Amino acid sequence: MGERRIPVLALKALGRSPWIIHFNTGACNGCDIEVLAALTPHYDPERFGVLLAHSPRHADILVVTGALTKKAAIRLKRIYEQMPEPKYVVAVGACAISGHAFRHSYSVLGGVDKVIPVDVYVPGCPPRPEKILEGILKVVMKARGGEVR
Amino acid sequence: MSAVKVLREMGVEVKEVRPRRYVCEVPREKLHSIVSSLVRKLDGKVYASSIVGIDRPEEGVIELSYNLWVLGECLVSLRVKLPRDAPEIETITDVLPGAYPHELEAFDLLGVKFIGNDKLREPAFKPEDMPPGTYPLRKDWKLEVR
Amino acid sequence: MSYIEIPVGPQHPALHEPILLRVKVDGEQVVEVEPVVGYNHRGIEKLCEVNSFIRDLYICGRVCGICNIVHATCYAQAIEEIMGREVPPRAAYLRVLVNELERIHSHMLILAVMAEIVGFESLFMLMMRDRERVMMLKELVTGNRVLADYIIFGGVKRDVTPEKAEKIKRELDYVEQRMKYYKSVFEEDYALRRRLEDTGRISAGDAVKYCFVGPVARGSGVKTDVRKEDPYAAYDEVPFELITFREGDSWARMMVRVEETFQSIAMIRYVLDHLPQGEIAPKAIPRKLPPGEAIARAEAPRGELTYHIVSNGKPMPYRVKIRTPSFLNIINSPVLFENAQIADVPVIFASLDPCISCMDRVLVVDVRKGKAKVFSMKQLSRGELRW
Repeated sequence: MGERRIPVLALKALGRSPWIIHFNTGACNGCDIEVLAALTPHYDPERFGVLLAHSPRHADILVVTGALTKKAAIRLKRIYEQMPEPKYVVAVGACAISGHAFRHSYSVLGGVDKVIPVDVYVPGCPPRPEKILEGILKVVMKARGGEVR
Repeated sequence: MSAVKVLREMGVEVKEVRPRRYVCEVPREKLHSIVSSLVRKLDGKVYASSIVGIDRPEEGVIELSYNLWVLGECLVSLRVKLPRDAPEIETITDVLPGAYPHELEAFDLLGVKFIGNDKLREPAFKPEDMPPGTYPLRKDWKLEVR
Repeated sequence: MSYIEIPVGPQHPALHEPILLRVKVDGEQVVEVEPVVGYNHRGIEKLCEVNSFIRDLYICGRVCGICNIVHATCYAQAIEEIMGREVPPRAAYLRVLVNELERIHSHMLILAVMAEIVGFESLFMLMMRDRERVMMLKELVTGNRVLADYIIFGGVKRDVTPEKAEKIKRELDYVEQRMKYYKSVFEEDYALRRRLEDTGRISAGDAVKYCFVGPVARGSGVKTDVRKEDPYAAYDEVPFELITFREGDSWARMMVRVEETFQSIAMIRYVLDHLPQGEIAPKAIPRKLPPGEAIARAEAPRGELTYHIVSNGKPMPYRVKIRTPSFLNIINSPVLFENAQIADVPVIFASLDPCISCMDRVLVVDVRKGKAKVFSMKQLSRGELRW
């Protein structure tokens, strides 16, 4: 259960903290509770300056969970459009990546990249909070032109 | 007074499927009065756990199973068969207002009309690109597995 | 009191935000609340008809991530009843263990979220930190923090060794001690009580008529719990108290969950001390589904969960009906908002334990001003109704 080491220097060089906004497009909430857990003291996201923004207009990174339901698709697009540049998207969980078990449903379109561009995919059902946090930080490194494995 | 006793006194045939599970076939016109009598005679200790719509095209019916939980006792399933080309039945929301979500869902996904429930609308649960009149839980609505 | 409905613009703000509630207000007074449905509809029941009953176990285990084990348990029970299959005693006890672990983490989550709603950030953080212990125990027993696919037809997939049992007991001792502190906060903190008390009151009779289930009904004094009235797994052998409160308000609903957490901890200890010997699963997983029908019920953390399955002997079930507790509690919630103030809306809503991602934004329509705007639950809770 060890944590991957993230070069903290690269992040501190960013000069400001990445604000994230979280949106659920039709998830079972499994990924959502792990996203929430990632924002709590046990995982200490604040050492990286990761904070929850109050509105899309103040966010740098959009964290999306859930199989993309048709009803949520328009809303997801809208939230993405409201975010100022530069902006990045992290798709958390198998459902956000492809629709997973629900991809054949009449109300599901598939993964979230059907309507918005995705920068980092975090696989899992659900992924662990450490992995979600790592996914968010990979976006930061990508933004700085850093190496993303 | 037990629920089974109340039902039998009303002339309803009650079958025990297993402990705490009873099934009764009831005609459409009697459903409302049976539910209403049950609620009254059992001092309001009954609620609608679910209303399950089952499409049976080979029989030409849509069957509704009114699964009522009697507090501290048992589950009573009142089975009603509605003609598939005109599935309509009186609402029970006047007696059990909490049955509204069940009726809304059966209306939206199966096309069952609950007479007297004026808060039914579609699309409610199903997505907006499914026009009114599309009932995905019917057997003749095929799901494309992509 | 009458009011005039003023049509709100050509662009409905609701289309742009993920919302679950539409609230009509006259100033600060709530006039009407309407839950928005369909947002999370994934067409699961239809999916169940085109997949085998074995695959459906994995689909149904993903209906709700917070109480996934309860869904898997309930679905498996319905299938086992159709098959005429009993679960070995050791597996029945283990099912109780994991279902109660699920209850503890779920209750701690909504208690923490409620703390955050009323502005008690530090309480939220503390509870979430302590909840991590329970998540770790879930992983210890089932193999994963959240979704583990631990339940199979006829039993469970993993056993508990004596070493694991000791670890579980030690961690639960810690969680219990912390929960005693949290209980005292919910009972004694003046600000918390003032926000929660007297909001969203409903009588026992109305709670039944409006088909509220779980802690929502028990908070109004309704003595209903599937584990007591309709026992499944080993619930007829594991002793516990059915918790009710009389007040019928948001505070009572949260206190039911606080007390249930203690009951769950005691139940897990009992299970570990009385775990029957024997196998945990059949040697051959049953692969044929005979014709038949079953209605299974389980007590999820949010209330009664029920699966009604009809089989015609084919591997793909003829009908799978899933009725979650939130389906009833949320869609029937408007009655709880009568005479509420707008700042009470997030508190009353959270007391129903809705899924957390739905706990975000609310569309507020002021009928007098003829304006509509989307606010976050936090803004409403703090009285930040800025137009």
